[in-house]
Order: sequence, then C-alpha cells, then structure tokens
Amino acid sequence: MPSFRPLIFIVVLATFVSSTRFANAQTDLRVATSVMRITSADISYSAVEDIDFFRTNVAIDLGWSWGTLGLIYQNANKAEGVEEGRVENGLMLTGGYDYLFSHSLRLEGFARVGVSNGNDESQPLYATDTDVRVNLVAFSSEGTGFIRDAAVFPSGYVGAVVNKHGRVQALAGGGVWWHQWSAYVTAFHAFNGVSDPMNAGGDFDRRFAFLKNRGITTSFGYDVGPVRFGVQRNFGLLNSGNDLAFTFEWKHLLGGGLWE
Amino acid sequence: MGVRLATATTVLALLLISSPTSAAWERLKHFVQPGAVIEEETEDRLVLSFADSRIVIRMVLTTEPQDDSDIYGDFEVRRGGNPYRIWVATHQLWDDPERPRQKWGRLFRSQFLRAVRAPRQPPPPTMAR
Repeated sequence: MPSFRPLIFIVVLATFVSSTRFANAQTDLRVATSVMRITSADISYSAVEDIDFFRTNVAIDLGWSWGTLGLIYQNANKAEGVEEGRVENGLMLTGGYDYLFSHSLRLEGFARVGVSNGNDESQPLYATDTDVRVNLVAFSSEGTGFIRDAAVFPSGYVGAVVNKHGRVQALAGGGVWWHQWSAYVTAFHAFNGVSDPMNAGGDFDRRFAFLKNRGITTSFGYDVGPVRFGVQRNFGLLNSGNDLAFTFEWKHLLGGGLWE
Repeated sequence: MGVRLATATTVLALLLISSPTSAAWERLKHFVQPGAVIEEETEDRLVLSFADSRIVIRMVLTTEPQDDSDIYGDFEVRRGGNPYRIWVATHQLWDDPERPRQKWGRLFRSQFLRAVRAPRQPPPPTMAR
C-alpha cells in the first residue's frame, strides 16, 4: 500500500501558502480540546460489542486568510479490565482550506497526517489518523425565516473522506445555525473496506482502520464570543462506534478580518 | 432510518437555501417599523423615509457600498463557518449631526439597531480572488 503522507503534506502546505495571496487576511489562533467516549460498537451487521474506549485530544491551529495549519495531540486509551489497559499517544499535522464560490456555495477541505504515535501495530488504538476530507457546502447567507426575531441559517453538504488505507466514505448532511446555536445531522457511508472485522482475511492488520462502516452523527454547538461549546453523538449503523464527544474551542483573532 | 433522516435533513436544508438577492430586503423589511415608508426598492437598493410633525428622515440602504449609501450590506465569514449577511453603517450616516441615531433609529426595530455595525476604520477591505 503506497503511503499518502508525502502527498497529503504537500497538498496541505500548498493550499496554505496559496492562501497568503490575499491582501487583507484574517489571522487567528484556535485552540480546541475534545473528550470522546465509545461505549459500544455495531460490528458485522449483527453484533453490538460493549467497549470502553476514550480519546482525548488538544488541537491548535493558526489560520491565515482561508487556510489553516496546525497540530493535534491525541491520547487514546482503553480502560483496565475491559481489555488489557492500554494507552497510545499520537501527533497529527493538520491543514484546512475554504474556497468560496459564491454567497451560497463553498468548498472546504481538511487533512490530517499522523506524524508520530506509539501504536501497537498488532492491535492499534489509532491515536493518529491520516486522511483527507472534502465537503461541498450549500448555505443561505441571508437567512431563511426567523425564530424569535433571529434569522435561521440552514446549510446542507455532501462530501467524502479518504484515509491512507484507501477507504472512501461519502458524507451527506444538513443543519441550521440560529442565533448562537447550531444543530447538524450527518450520515456517512464507506464504499469499500472490511465488512467483517472478525474475518478480515488479508486485511487483518488494518481491519479497524479499513472498516466498511456506516453511521449517523448529530452535533450541537453554542457560540459565545470567541468560545464554542459542542456536543457530538455518533450512532453506528454498521462497523461503527456509538460514541459521545464534548468539545471546547477558543479562537483568538490576531489581526485583519474576513469579508466578501 | 438514520440514513433517511440525514437525507431528509440534507434535502430540506438545500431547499431552504434558495436565497434570491431580493431575500436581503425581505429579511431587512422584517425589522422596518410600520411607520416607515418604502420610497424605492430595487434589487440592490432600498430607500426608506419617515416623517411626522417634528422630523423627516430619509435613508438609503444598498446591498453593496455605494456613494450615497447610509447603510450597506456585506458578508462576514468565520473560519470554518458559512458567510452570513451583516449591515454596516457608513460615515455619511454615522457622522451626520442632522441624523443622530435616535432619529434614524425610528425607522427600525431594536433588533436591527443592535445588529447594525459601526463604520469600518479603515475602509472595508476587499479581497482579491
């Protein structure tokens, strides 16, 4: 399997550098942390397996104009007693880019590249991921109707995620932003990968990173000034975990501003 | 079930998104006081006036900055989010001693007055694409 790392790194760097062509650019610093717990997973069409799996991460990125470049430190662990208690730590390089086609359509891209981890290759906890995500987002910038005199801004999106193992997931979702609140629903569906991780055959070594999975993710957010609180719940439908994540994000504007 | 829910949400969101340019005035008119008169309305321009026994006020609102704009529309972007419409006052309005805020504010409801932005210093940046 060829490594996607150099290619992804070049794409991330190129998009970031290209974003500096704007004369008046917003520069900001974002720090975010999230805690996620997976309590069960839907495996192989029928079995629901109880697991106890935690992921905690801290992300920091610098935004310049429409691009971002950053790092994610992630700690993954399984509790003692469920299986052997294990911990993995990993570091990912991240890059993102937004391209605005119009006042109702934009393309967003985001890439993560695992640059170090302490994975136990025989049974990794995946403290790092290497993947590229692209979303085409249609939205209303004028708002659609009012709730209590505050405009409602709906959006819908379709996209794809490709990870370093070549698994391709399609995404589709939609949601609304109102006042300081947001709510979104996203469905994901993998087109390829291991259907039965217990019988992964030749894909045994990468079975959990190459799952043919499917699920629904719901998320809710609340923005107050530079701070954002979020809750995300994932419902696995096939080869996917049922997890709950809490996020906290703080953004500091260093200069400039973004207007169209 | 879940996939259907997400599909329905996506389709519904896409249907709601259809925002013609005139949507800007439809949204804004929601915040115009009943006593105000619409003198002129085109796709990119809305002229409002208000008159009673004591004062007469006339204001020009445009979707983009123009020479005679009192308030113009713009779009603000938060990284990772969708651009959304904002309204920005010009110095022509903000610094006019004949039209203090308590006067021109009679044309709009309080929600709009809270949302309208002060003039930008320096002038609004334009982002070459």
